[in-house]
Amino acid sequence: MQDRNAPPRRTYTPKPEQINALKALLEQGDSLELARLLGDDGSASLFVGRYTIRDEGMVRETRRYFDTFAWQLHQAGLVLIKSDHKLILETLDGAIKKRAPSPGNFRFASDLPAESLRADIEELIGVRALLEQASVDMATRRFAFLNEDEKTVVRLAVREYGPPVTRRDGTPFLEVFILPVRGYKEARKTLQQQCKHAGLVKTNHTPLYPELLAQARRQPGRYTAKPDFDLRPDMAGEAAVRSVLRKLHDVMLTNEMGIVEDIDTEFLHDFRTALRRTRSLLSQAKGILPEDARSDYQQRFRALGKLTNDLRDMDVYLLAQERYRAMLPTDLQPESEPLFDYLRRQRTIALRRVRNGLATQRHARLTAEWRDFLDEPVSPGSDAPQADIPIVVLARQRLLSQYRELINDGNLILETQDDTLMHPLRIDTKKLRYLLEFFSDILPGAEGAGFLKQLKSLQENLGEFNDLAVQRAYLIHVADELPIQKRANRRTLVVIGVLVDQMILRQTKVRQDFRDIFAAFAAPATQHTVARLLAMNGQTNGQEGKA
Amino acid sequence: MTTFAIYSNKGGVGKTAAAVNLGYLSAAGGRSTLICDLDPQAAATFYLRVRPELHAKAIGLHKGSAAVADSIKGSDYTGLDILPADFTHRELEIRYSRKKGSTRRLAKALGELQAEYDVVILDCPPSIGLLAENIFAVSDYLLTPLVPTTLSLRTYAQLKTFLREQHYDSARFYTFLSMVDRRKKMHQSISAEVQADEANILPGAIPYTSVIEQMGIRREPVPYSDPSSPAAIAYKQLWRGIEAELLGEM
Repeated sequence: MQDRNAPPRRTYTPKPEQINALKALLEQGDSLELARLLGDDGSASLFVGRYTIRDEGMVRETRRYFDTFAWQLHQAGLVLIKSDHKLILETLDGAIKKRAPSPGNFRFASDLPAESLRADIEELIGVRALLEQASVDMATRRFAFLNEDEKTVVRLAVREYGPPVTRRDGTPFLEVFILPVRGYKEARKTLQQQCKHAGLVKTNHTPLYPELLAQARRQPGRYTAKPDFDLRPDMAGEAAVRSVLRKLHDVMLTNEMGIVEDIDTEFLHDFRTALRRTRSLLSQAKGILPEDARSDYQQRFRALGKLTNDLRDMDVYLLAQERYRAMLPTDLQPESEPLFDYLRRQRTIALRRVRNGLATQRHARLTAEWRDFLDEPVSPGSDAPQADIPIVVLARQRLLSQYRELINDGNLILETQDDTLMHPLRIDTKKLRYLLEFFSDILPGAEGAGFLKQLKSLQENLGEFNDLAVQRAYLIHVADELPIQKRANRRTLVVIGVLVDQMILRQTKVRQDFRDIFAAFAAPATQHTVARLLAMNGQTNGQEGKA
Repeated sequence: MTTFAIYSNKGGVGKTAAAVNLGYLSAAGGRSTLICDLDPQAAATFYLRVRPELHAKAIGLHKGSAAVADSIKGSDYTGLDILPADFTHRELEIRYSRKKGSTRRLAKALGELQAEYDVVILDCPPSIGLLAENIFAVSDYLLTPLVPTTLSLRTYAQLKTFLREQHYDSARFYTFLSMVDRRKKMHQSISAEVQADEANILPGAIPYTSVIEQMGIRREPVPYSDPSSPAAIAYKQLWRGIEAELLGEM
């Protein structure tokens, strides 16, 4: 309703005794009544002979407020609003940032109209789905004030929100606002004076969204895929590990519903990341947790990971559709459709399997027993020899040995040129990375000195190498599966051929890069820094003696 | 941030009606739109119920766009503003000729406004002198209404020659049929010819109808006052063509 180039509107709150009159005005749109309400008694009016008031009618609309599960818009101070006619990207304090004509339904940023709006939102939310977080009905009646040319020179609007939205004191949420028309300052000033005269109270426009969220008991920003682990250096090893595992389990539980409902691919992604971290920590927790339980859960979580592998793979392929298409010459691009159709069908099958798996008794038991295990008090008579050692000491040991293992495994690849060792090396980097994340509070220096950056680039390099290898193998498998009798599929085989070829080229490049990236990572200077950082931290935290 | 000049070297071809109706459709589609009435006769200003008068300092549309911006009036329609005409516009040609850089005076005066709006539409008086050059310099596209008569075709051919001489990029020069009287055989045959031969012709032939003439009485854009009339439909078709061809996605 507000014009981008118009001066800002001014909002007024009625006094309690004015509410009934305003409600009647909203319902009936009687211009004389409005004049009376504004204090025009026909004698000393500022309006006499100057403006005529015309009712422009009442509009009812529903505003729906959208954000992702992870509240990514909220974190950026924004919300996407869909009303009957338009989409508005608004700041949390109610200022319009972008607007566009409203589309039908949308779920992802890519479904949105208007390039600049879409780009803004895509940058913030990536592949996450937009979910309705709140909604409000509103009825607005506008009155136009016309000059002697019958030109509208200012407008006054009465708006009621809800029900069920009410102010905190229980009164209806009713607002009056002045909508100025550019270039007609005098009319605006006159109307402002008249509103003041009528006893309306000027207010700052109170944004409704926070109010609506509060009423719906929604707390934005509570979800994070990377919780703070909040460890203290002197925590006993077992207690610390359980505390980290509990937070990871929270992440898994939070995401389960989104996977089952298939809202967006990030639910599974976050679930699997938390699952991998859990498994990684379990593998490092030998001697810290009771061994029977540790190895039992290790097994069971491995099976859970396996259950979700195919679905994640299909998600990755389908999310990369555009990238794949771009690898093809233009005339072959349409021929890739049967391939993506095939992948979509496989995804449906994989999703069904995951849904079924998560609905089993076995999974319910794993969830409940794991929780019980994590919550049970640490038994003094634990068979785990390291259960009572301060976590900072254990963390340093694990990090150092994991770092050394990584260096050894990497060197082995450089010596043997054996590419089958690339995958285990990737797992090494992940383990190291997770350890750094778990213990970042108690070993703050370990992430420093460019070490984390080097680790990340090594991880990226190995990740891409591995993805290319897996995807290439999968594409060849798809080539086996596509019914060759169909003419369209034969061309798709050509598509697969081109993609595989491109992947081989890229993989060669990635493999070449590995040598330099790993060399930097394994350089004696870096090794020295890492050893020093870890040792130093132990000292600064005064934990050496306790070990 | 796209500027269209509704321009012709001939009067009475439906420029103002096009400027107002297209401006309305642009704003209704969600683009913030400014109509600049450069014609001293102030018909566009009148159609939008605004008084033809600029801020004293803005007279002559010189540089210093603050005064020009202060002269802008909001129309009765969301997203549509107008820079009113002023009687002094009849001297624009002379005023510009006395200045240095005289072909870019208008561009300088409107510069900041162009950034403020998604679409700027200039309603131009029929001129082929210095003011025309100023208009070409400030516009992204010229949209020329073409009445399907032999005489109009001649003037149109002259205009094309003139633009070529001015080294105006022909890719920025578009035309559309205007005031088409379907009862006249000549209109029909010339329309068909133009549609077949002209490279940059936009869809939507604006009919010659009383609804458009009544804009002066009703003082409302046709797609607002009479949205299902053939004229409104033709303007909508024309605007969709402009959107698709020249504006792209919002």
